[in-house]
Amino acid sequence: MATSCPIDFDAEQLRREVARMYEAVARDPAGEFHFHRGPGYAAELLGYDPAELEAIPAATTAAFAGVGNPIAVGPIAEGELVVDVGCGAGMDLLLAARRIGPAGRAIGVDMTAAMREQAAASAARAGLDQVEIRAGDAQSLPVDDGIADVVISNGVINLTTDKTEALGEIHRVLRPGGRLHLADIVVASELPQSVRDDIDLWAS
Amino acid sequence: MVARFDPFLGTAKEKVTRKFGVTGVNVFARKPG
Repeated sequence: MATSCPIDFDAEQLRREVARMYEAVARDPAGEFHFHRGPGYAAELLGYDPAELEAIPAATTAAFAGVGNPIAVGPIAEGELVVDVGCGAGMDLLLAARRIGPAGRAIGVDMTAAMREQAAASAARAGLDQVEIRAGDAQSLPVDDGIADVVISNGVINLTTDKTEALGEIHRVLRPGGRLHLADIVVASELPQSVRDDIDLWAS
Repeated sequence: MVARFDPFLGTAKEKVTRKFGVTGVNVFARKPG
């Protein structure tokens, strides 16, 4: 899988566009977007358990905009330390937190303030004290080396301008033997430069 | 790689994602050690 994607625009501009897009999702998940959101989509297209989603605060499941199901990739055990890269409003993070229980730690990292606020509020509402939300992004995780039993991420690495750097950060924070549960999108063919340089396609 | 999805099914981006073979994937990996 190729992990580089040369672009001809300012990476900081892309970062701002991504933040703007997901701030809008956090503020108004029912708004007009060209990607799916919400628990119905998660259950019907991605295989999430509807009963588990019912246990997560509705404001968090409404703002879910992932592209796969990292929770279904493998088991997450009681007491483990989980890092969610780009946790958004916290749906996967809270599902993981329920699995690890009060003896574990679930650290969610997101670059979007409104998403972080929603994730923290939902964790508090659900009584999941093992959840901690941190500001940061996938290319510079605010997490110590080698502490994670599991890293999860859902639809975030594709938004980064340097996939190698983002995957390197995941490798850095995982302990030896730690697991990556990654859901994301991939392309089957080389994208034309005109598509690579379309910031609206990137930010979606 | 354990599963593929079409997260863009029914969205305004479905046509362009199909054109370039974009799919959602779930991946498991383990750090050696």
